[in-house]
Amino acid sequence: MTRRDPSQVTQLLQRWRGGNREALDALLPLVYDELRRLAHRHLRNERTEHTLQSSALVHEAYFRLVGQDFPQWEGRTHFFAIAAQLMRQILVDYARRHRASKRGSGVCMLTLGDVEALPLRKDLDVVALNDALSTLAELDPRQSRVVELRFFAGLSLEETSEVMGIGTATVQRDWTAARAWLHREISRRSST
Amino acid sequence: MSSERWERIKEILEQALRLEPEKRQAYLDSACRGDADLRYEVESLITSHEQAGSQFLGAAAPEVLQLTPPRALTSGTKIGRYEIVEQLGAGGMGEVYRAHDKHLDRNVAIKILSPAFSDNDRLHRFEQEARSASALNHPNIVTIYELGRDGTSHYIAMELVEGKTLRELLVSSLLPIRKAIEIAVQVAEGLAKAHEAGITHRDLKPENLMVAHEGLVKILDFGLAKVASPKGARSDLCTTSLTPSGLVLGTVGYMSPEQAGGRRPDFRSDQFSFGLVLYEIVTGKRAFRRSTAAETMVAILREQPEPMGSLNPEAPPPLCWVVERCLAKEPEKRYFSTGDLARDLAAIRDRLLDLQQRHPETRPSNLPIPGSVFIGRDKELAAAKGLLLRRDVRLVTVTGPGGIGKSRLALEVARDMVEHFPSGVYFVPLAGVSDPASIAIVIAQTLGVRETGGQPQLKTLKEYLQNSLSTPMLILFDNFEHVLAAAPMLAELMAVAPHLKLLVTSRAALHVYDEHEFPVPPLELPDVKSLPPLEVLPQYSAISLFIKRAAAVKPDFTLKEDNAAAVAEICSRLDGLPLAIELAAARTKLLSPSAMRTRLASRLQLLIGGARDLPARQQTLRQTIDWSYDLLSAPEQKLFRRLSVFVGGCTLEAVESVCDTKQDLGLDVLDGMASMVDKSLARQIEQADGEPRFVMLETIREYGLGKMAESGEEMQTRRAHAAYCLVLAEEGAAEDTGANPKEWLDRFELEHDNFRVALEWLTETGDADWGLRLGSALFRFWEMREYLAEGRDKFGKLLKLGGAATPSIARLRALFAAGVLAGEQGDYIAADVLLKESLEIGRRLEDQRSIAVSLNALAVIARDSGDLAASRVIFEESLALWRALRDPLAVARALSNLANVVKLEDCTRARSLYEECLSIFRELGDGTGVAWALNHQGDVARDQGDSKAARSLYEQSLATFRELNDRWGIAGSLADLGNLAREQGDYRAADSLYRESIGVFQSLEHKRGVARLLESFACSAAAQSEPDRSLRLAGASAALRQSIGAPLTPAEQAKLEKGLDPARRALTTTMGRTAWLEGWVMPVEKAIEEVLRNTLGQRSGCKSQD
Repeated sequence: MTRRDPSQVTQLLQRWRGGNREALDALLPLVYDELRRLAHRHLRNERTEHTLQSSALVHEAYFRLVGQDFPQWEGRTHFFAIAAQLMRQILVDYARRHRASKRGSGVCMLTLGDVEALPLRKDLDVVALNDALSTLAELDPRQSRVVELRFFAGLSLEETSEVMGIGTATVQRDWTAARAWLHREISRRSST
Repeated sequence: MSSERWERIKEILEQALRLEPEKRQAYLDSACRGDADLRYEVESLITSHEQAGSQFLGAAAPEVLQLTPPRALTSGTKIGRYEIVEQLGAGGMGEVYRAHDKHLDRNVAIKILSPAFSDNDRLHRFEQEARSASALNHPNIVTIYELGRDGTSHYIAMELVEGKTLRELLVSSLLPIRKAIEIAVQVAEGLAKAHEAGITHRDLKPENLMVAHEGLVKILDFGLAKVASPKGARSDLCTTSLTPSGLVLGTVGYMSPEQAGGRRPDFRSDQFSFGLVLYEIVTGKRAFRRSTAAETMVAILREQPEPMGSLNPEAPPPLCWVVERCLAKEPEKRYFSTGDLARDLAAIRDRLLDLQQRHPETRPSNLPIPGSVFIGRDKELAAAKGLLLRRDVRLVTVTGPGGIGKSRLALEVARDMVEHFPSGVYFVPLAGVSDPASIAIVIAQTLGVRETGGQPQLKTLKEYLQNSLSTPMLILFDNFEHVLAAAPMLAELMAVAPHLKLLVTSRAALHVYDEHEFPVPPLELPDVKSLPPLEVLPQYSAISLFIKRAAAVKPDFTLKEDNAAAVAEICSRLDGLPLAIELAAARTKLLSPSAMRTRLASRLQLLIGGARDLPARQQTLRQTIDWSYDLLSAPEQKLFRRLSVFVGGCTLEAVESVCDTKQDLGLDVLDGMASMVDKSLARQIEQADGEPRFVMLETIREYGLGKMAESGEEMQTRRAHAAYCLVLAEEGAAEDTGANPKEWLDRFELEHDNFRVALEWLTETGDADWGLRLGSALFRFWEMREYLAEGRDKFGKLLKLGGAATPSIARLRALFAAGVLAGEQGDYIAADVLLKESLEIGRRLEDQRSIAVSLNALAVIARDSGDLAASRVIFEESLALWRALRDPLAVARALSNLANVVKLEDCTRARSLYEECLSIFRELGDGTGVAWALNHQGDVARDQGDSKAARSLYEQSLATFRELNDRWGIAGSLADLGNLAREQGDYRAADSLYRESIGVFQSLEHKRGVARLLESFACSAAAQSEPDRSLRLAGASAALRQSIGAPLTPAEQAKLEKGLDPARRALTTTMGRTAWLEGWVMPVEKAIEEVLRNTLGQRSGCKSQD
């Protein structure tokens, strides 16, 4: 297993902050791979000393990718912004595939990598949530990012506030409203 | 909706939610001010908020999706009659806990099945299967105690295995081949037993195999895969099947083609999965790892895995064949019974064990035997080993102040890890190296990397590591603080060689990427203020060390009530530093602990409490050595100071000649050394020849050097040391023509650090005279032991000295030596320049012998660089000179040299040269020379196709060797004759000659020769249509070669394959494999017995052609 050169990610982050969109394109697969690798490892249920919190996945990915030579906080901010987006992507993909395999019930259909998975809880349809969140983003992009960070990346209120550079009160307000809005949106969609 | 409006909605919503529900209407009335849409929107969101409750998005997505492990049961929870102790792990089928069975008062493992497996029918079937497997009562199948139910959850109570899953073992590192086979045999035996009883596993994988601490392997979860099958589906259809919710369960990577293709699997499906597991434990890689499950399944169905041998050359061919057979796509091509599989593996294991017992040193390692006991470092040892075994850890730096025990710990770690590093564990001491640039040279020498000229040593080393390191290797660098500037080079080496791990001891961290620092803590100390009871005290490692060292000088020393406090305080004042404690304890002979405490207290700064930082500890150590030094008598102090000039130890004779040159010591040297050892200032190591050798710890030696410099005796001592080294080297060099060079080469090896230091000092002080002499005396040693680059480097520096510029014999010799070394490195251009200068000096001084010697060397260079014509001309010139000098022996050798070049183009001339050479040897009565000249002539004749002449020459050579009773020559000539006969198709004669030859090699215990002869027999048998016997002998030879670490070169291998080809073609693969394996597991004595029995080869119908 080759260890990724952290400076590569650092450079891309810097270029991305400098307004280079191509840097983000290059960055996404790197981070995505790493997160997916972490998620897979996690899914394999390897016995780990510390129980992984969902945000620990992202923290760990950050340290593996960026290391400590990057200006600590600034780097983290940008990193989490991307990571949360990616976590969303990954998890929604995951949920989508799960849905697909459900449809093919009774057939020996295999869609996951060497992964043992456990059933989803019935009370949340992540795919529907994702669709609703996209609609919300049109209305209020900031709010949608709060949801990404809180729900998909598992960050706390305070962490979200720090990452986004807005006060906790604002995060709280956005979060409360987004939850209500999303819940309503999903109920409406599923009843139609 | 505009964003301002949405912001407004959010604000109102937030405010409203903060209010009690009954107050919200009033608030909304005022906030919305008649905007009905706004109010509707907010109210609708309030309703949603309430419906959502705390559940909705209440946990983060990965948790919602259960991508994080479920909350574990807490300790003390009761499940049936069991009480949970702790969680052991979790898998797709549920979590596993350590639990206590209160009724039977024993610990068990409890697996709580996921709710997904709640189907009673299937659970029942599983129970039957699991119980029947368990009832087999086989040591390699885990015993099931009970399948129970507590509330809604089902659980399995089973035998608790203290150990790790095979998966965990694989994660930490590649297993040594022997261990891998031992595990494999046990799994196969467990499987065989189950298969016999008609039970299959269906989900064999590293996660389901437990390896207990004592090495016993247990197969888990027999039949459990059945439970996981979907209802209604044929339960045997696939192990990796759908859970009720439709998710994939089980691991695709270990499926058989039947399972992947949806066909009915039987016991042979387990064989396939087993093959995959075995492949992985041997190579560290999965045979069919693809990025998606679908691709993995396709690979399992259609593709062939990468050959195991190319991933792990240590894997014996028969083992690879066993795996190959298990991995046959068609079940009918696998083993008919798993029992046969188990037996095959057991045979391989036994054979391997057998080989290792006979040749315990199968792994290259140059680790020295430690000169002291290893006390109280169990925890650190385990931690450091664990760190080094982690796959992601490549460089571990053991750090700490001098005297903390870094080297001792690192050495112990390395000694314990030899099994894990098939490519070897190497020790590189750096105490004698002061130039960071020369480290690459030292490493290359330690690894035995053949130097190639014209390129920097580092490049050669990197190429070597990159190309030839296919299994893990460990290098231990001791005392790296001397050469910290070379740290980046270590990173470079690791970058090119993924199999290389480094263990380094250094007072300071190296600060390179990927370094893992392992600071060595002081030994454990009791709390002096509230001293633990006497019987507990020896459990503290500091105290235990004091007791052991004290008892070594004063056998009746014991820890008692009246001295315990003093000992504890001494150890504490010495900061738990092992070296300081050792120095103090060594004084127990004269000082009681309480007297020692008082004296030490006045010397050492008071311990103010709390942890002390590094400089403080260094201070403590320095003061302790000071104290120990001050307690020496004046003559002893003098001896101690002078002794520190030696690096890497010295003999008693060396001490006498260096430390008492002027007889001014005022002390008997032997008594003095006994005192040094007594006081732990030097250690005594017994050499193989029984002669004692004295070694100083690096920290103490440095202190001594400081004292020596202060005393103003440094120049005098160093000169005495250099003189001693020069005499030793010149004496040794004079012996180099002796019959047994190994003896003096070994002695030089032992004193190499002393030679290095002396040479360095002579170079630094510009003493060209002694320097050139010492260099020239070391030349043969450098050449024969392949210290080529180092020798050249040293000569380069010496030749640049002002005093070396005069064209003297000394300069000539140094130039000659440097030239030869350069030539051996393949740096022909440099060699040519050096040798031409030596030739020129020879001519100027009109020293004919020197001229002839230089010419000969120049000719060798020309030959090796491919310029045969030039080589021939120069050899002729050299030969003419020797003739003029009338030195017959030199003439004979020159003739042989010339003939070796000439024979490539002019056989007739070569013959006549050999003939002349022969007659000179005859005149001189040099029988060995005669015999070899005949043998060489035989080679020429054979190459010319004149087999009759060749045979006659070989026979004469053989007769001469027989007269001399030179058994090496006898065996070699017999083999040559045998090959000649085989080439002519006279297999009967060939076999008979081979038989005699192998008998001689056998009696000489020359294993390489035995292996070569077994191969000759194998080829002969192949040609005689005895394929079975042929492959059996080839197998026996391969096993022998593996055990002695003498593989065939690719060219030799190709030649052998060609010889074996008829046998391979005559047999089916399976039969061939069986025959080879049979030979491979056959003890070599039996193979020899077989070829010695004169019953075979009778059928040969071919007749000699002449």
